[in-house]
Amino acid sequence: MSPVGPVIEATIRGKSYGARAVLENFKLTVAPGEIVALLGPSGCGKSTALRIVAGLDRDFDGEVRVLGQRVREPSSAVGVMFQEPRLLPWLSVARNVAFAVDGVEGAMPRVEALLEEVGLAGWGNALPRALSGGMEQRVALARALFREPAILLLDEPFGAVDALTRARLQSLLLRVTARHGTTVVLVTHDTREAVLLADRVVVMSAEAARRSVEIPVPLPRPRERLGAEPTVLETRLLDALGIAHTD
Amino acid sequence: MQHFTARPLTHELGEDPAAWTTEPQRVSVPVGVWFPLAVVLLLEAAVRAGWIPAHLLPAPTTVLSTLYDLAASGALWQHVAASGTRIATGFAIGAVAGVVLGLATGLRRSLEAAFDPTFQALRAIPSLAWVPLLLLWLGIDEAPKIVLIAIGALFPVYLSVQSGVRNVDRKLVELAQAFGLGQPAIAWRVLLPASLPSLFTGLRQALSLSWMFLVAAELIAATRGIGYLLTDGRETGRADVVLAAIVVLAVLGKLSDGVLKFVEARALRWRDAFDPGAGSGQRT
Ligand SMILES: Nc1ncnc2c1ncn2[C@@H]1O[C@H](COP(=O)(O)OP(=O)(O)OP(=O)(O)O)[C@@H](O)[C@H]1O
Ligand SMILES: [Mg+2]
Repeated sequence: MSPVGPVIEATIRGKSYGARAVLENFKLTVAPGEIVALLGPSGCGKSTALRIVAGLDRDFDGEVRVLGQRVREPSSAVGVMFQEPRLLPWLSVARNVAFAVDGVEGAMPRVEALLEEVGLAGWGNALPRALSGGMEQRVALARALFREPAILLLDEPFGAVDALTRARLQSLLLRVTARHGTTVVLVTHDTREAVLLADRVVVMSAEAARRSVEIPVPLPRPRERLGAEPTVLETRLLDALGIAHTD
Repeated sequence: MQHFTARPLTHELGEDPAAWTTEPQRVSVPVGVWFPLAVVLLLEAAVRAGWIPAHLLPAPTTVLSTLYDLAASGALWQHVAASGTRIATGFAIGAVAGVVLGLATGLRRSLEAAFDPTFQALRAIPSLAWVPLLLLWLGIDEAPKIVLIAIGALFPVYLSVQSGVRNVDRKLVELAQAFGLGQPAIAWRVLLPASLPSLFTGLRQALSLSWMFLVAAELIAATRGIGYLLTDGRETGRADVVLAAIVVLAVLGKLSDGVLKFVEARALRWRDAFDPGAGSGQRT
């Protein structure tokens, strides 16, 4: 493995559930430290692709390599955040965040720092049933960041929070990934979010057989929230989505 | 915390006008008490009036005084201790075996295929049918009684753990896999806690069955225990002793179930389940 080789090389020739093809000829290559956004209509297979890259689904035709290694099972180099929070209801918030290690005691300083960063300072002892949807999602983000994985796979990580919290979490993600050179694949429905966060956007189409479109985002960082260029790029993304819809 | 102080004042005062009165709250008696109380009073009156022969159905006060005598002489406590030890030992053995077998067959289809049909067949045997065999094999000591109780406790626990494991949300298991947990860690850290609610349902069923089998075992062959007290009362023509033993069984059964219920409530505090008693928006 050369040091500049891609971190993720996924070639999914085919993935189907029963008789239904979900993904066909889907390719995803991600360079070290790159942030790639997956955009596409609901049900087009974004979560499925992410689960395959994570090594959670081996029932497909194709090959996935992460850090040059063929993926056979989930790797500790990869942190996953699912579309649903998936908190364990019997564990406190702190223990959920530190789920990667069994027992929270030694990890407490790190857990508290993470909770503070996602705006949940002081909630460590609460049970998940006392949290709102957006709070659960933030706990799930903290849990994904806990191990400082080299690769983060995030499935609509900010879908359930308000605009202000979302902006804060977005900059938290950019800060953390810049600090550690983390490689990120991020599923989103939000073209604005894709333009703000990603180096490259992969727009997937509703029909499995159609090719996905790749659109680079050559904007300098830190990026302006409401500049002219982001809006131009957003229009291109919406076009790509629209083309994917019609015909 | 600040969001608690933000509650509207009406919450404290309440919309119920009764909350505004200065009179002390009446002590509320659960409505469920009235019916049995009425029956007991009626019985007492009927026996005293001579409508019911006292040697068949002694007056409730007679039963109470018999209970008192049994307790004062110390005999009652010996019987309770003997039965309690049998229940505790048999239930513990049966429950542990049920958890182990339920987990094993719940986790592995191959083990389920190999052993579940056998367990289902054994479960179909009315447990009292074991009694002669147990007496033949194990004599008339403690062993056959404890084994019978363990058999009774085993199956409800086995079934509840197995179905509990099978009903765990696949997504939580997938989460654990994503975090690199191996099979044993997933069983211990996800499947077992997630099936606790089901386990407790099984444990409580198992406990009530344990009491049933205890009495069965003690009725047949025992020199101590509450079942023995029942037999003894019948043989000596003492209906009051039989009734006293039944009252003790009711109290002990309710008490042991209460302990289990308490442990359950504490162990499952994390649960966010439907509570028909809770008002809208109020969580405890
Ligand atoms: N376990 C499953 N069994 C059968 N079909 C499934 C399963 N999981 C997903 N699918 C199907 O695969 C397709 C892709 O699902 P996926 O969850 O990847 O979509 P998505 O792009 O993430 O959508 P969304 O944006 O709504 O989350 C859907 O049409 C769905 O019906
Ligand atoms: Mg999805």
